[in-house]
Amino acid sequence: MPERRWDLTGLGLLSPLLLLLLFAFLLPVAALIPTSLRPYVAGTGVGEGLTLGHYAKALTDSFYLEIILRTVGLGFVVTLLTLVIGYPLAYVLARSTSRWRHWLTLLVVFPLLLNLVVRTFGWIALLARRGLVNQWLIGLGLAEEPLRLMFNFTGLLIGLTHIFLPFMVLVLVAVIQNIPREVEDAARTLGAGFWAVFARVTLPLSAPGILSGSILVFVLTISALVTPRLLGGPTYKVMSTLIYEQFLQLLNWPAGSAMAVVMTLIVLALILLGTRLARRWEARA
Amino acid sequence: MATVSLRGLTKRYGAAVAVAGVDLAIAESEMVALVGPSGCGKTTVLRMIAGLIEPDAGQVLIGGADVTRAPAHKRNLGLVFQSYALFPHLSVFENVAFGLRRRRVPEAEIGRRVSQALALVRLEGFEGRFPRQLSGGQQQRVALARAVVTEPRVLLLDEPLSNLDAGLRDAMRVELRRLQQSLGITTIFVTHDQEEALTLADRVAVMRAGRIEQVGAPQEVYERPANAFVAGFVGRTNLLDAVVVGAADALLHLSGPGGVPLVVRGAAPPGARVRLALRHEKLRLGDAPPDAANVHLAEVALAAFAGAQCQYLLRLPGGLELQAEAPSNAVFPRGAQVTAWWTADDMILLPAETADA
Repeated sequence: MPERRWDLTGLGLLSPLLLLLLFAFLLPVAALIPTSLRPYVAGTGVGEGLTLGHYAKALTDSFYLEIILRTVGLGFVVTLLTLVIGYPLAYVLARSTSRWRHWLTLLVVFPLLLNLVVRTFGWIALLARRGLVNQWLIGLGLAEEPLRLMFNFTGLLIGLTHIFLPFMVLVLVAVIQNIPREVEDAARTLGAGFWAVFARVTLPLSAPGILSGSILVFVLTISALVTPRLLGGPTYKVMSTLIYEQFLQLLNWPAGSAMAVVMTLIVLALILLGTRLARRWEARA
Repeated sequence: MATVSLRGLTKRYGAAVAVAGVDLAIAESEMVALVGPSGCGKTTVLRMIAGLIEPDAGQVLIGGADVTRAPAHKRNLGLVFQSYALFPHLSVFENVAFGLRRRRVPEAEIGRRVSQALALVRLEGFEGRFPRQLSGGQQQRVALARAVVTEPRVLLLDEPLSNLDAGLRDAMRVELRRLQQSLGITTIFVTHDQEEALTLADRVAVMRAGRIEQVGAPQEVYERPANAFVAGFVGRTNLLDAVVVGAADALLHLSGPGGVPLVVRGAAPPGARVRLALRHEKLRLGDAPPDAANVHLAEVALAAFAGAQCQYLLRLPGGLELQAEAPSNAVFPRGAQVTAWWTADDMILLPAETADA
């Protein structure tokens, strides 16, 4: 059967990627699982025997639960914000025929060319208690006291949205560009005004991009380390900073591994849900 | 149904003029073809009528009302795109229902009218399919049903048949004409295929470089082309340059390329340089009747069998080469000596002012 052969060719073409994923991703994650089942012994680290204690603690202890919920919540809000800010931008970039288009694209990509730490320090300079934003707010009389813009949810939200916006925009531009203009024109001749064309044609046809952009930004957000570490400070923790701390400061490898496994499972569940949704959309389309 | 009137319609892209002052009046229920080579501006004209391109100058009137500045979604026209432009995320039913939903037609009526439209294009039972599950011809018919279901005032078709293969194209051509006549809808279609234009349209507008060169009934455009471009574009034609040597009994005697003597009906002063058009099928082979004004002995330089017809390249003494098309009941082989003949009325004397074109 020709289709069978096609499948094998596909597998052949995918195999470099599959091998890379196997050795660089699946095996390391799988290696975490045995570690996560070991008890922690203060001073020496990984102890003997097996225990589910780290998982039980991660999923019941209010300290850990709050961090997990905060991380997932941050993921959702950052995704939503990048989508809301990024979609109009991507639409303009994809549809514009102006000669400024390339400059605008460059402007969107520009933050990616700067070192992450530098960008984050930039935000610290802006958001700190005596930072630029607070100085302006007080100078303009919009605030009496300096606002707390760092070491909390707001700070992480601002920093992460800024950092991951380009990813969302680039994914959306590619998808919107692929929507044939004639399909939108057809809707117009059939009596659809600008908003009806957008809601009935452009938006549904860009759904796959919205989905993949959202998954990308969500996964990047909940696994981001540097920005939460710098903008969240030592006390406002997310899962990635917690894992970092467990591994490198407390040398509690088992607890860190358990947390890492939990995070991986959350990501996998979301990707699975996303592909399920995409498949349902495709079945309709 | 409505009349359409274009007045001095013009569109420029930078320094390039895509459409340069097109005037055209289309009667109610008439089917008009805009035909011309690619880049002649015909699609731009169609899109300006639809409101998808804003003209730089001129007016579009539909049913006597000026709609030049009206947005596309308020014009109530049906447009079938060359690419069909079906909504890939919607079923056939929803594709056809799209325009009705925008007009807030009640659900029961939508069902009835969509079924009617699909019956009209013979696609009953395809309601639940998606565009990607349809063949090119079926997509074409969905696009047609989608365009006519809203009972538009004018139907616009952009190269409606060019994406179909030859057999299907002939069948769809008949379908299209049947549909247009049964609905009695004013229709403007764009094509680069002169044969399609001639067979389908009530009137044909031949365009070149943003201008209309000639408008007329298919037969009129074919028999009496306004200039060398139209003569060359519509039908298969030999174009000959000649000099008038004398006139008698409303006939002109001319000296053609290589000094070949030619006789054509018409009037021109002696010494005038003129251009003549001779259709391939008007040039006949075999024994000439006594009234044939042009009779030449020729050699068959090339012969190509094309089913019912045979195509020939003939070489006359003096080196003049003419193309001919004759029924293939008598096939002349390459190298054969034949008598080629045509009457004084078979050849068309083209107006002098466009002889340089």
